[in-house]
Amino acid sequence: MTVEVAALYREHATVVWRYARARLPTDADAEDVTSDVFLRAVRSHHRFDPSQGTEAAWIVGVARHAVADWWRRRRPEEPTDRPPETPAGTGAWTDEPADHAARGDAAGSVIAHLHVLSDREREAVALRFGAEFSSPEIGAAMDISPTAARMLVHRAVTKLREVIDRD
Amino acid sequence: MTDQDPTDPTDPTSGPGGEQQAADALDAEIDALLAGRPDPSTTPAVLLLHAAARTDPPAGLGGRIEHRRERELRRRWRPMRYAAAVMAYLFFSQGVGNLLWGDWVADGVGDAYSPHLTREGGLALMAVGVAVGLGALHRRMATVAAAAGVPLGIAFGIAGIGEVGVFAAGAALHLTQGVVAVVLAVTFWRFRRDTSGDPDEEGA
Repeated sequence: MTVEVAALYREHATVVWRYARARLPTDADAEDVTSDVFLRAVRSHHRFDPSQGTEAAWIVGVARHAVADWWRRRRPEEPTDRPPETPAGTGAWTDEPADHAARGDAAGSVIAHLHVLSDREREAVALRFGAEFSSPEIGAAMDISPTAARMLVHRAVTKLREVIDRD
Repeated sequence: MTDQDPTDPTDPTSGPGGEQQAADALDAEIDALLAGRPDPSTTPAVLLLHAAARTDPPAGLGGRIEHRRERELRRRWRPMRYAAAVMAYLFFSQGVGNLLWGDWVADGVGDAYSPHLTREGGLALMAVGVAVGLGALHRRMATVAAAAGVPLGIAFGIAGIGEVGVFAAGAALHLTQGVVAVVLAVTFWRFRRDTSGDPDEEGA
């Protein structure tokens, strides 16, 4: 079955964009990766199997690979088979003034503290809040149990709450 | 979710079981928030994360992606397009040749000249040439071009082997048609593979 890129974009742009933006340093990077995601998705849409999950979950899977590839290209010396660790302070939702302006100071303050999270915690947070995945969906995507996914998100939120409270 | 710290040793819900309870409560809290029914006691950090994540794609990004896709399709169509143009030219010029110099062709291959058959065959070849040529002009006609051009081109190519040493012009034309038909088949297959699903595509 062939599918048009415009139709896929209309349906899934927000989820893919929010996930990519949550995992990458700048808007420009997120735009590049979002473009790649939809081009990959339209080429490989024949692989989508509705019996294995929703189209949204499938396209976020494509996005996770695209983000991993983006980090791999950026740091080719670090071999990875999963989305690699992002160094502290250079990961998702950067503490840029433009971000603060766009999202408001309160949201900016939590963004500024995301570097305290491990890569897996950040991935779980991006899937939960960016892609709006449920815990079972995060578990399926990250190959962990739903309980482990819930714990990952909980630990991430707890860490953030602690650093925000300290400030 | 409560505001209790699940790692607090003085908290009776602390420890692995307590942390799991807290994680379940947070999960329900986030579910309600994402469903647009936030609990009044929702943790500020959760509200902030939710607010921070809710950015919309830049205006025009969809258009830029469509533009990239269009450029990609045109790039992948180009080799097939050239092959179809050459194939169309060969069929069309053969048809014109039949109309203008049918007796010379018949004489070259040692056949009896039949003006009626030669004229109708020439017109049919010109029509096939036009059909194949459409695949060089319009991407959506690629399948028509391949369906019309490949089998006939290969058949002519095989027939051309018999004309080697008999009628040089005919052998050259038909062998060329055979080669171009193979090129058209390969470029069409690659174009279709790349545009309607590439089994080798990574990352999906």
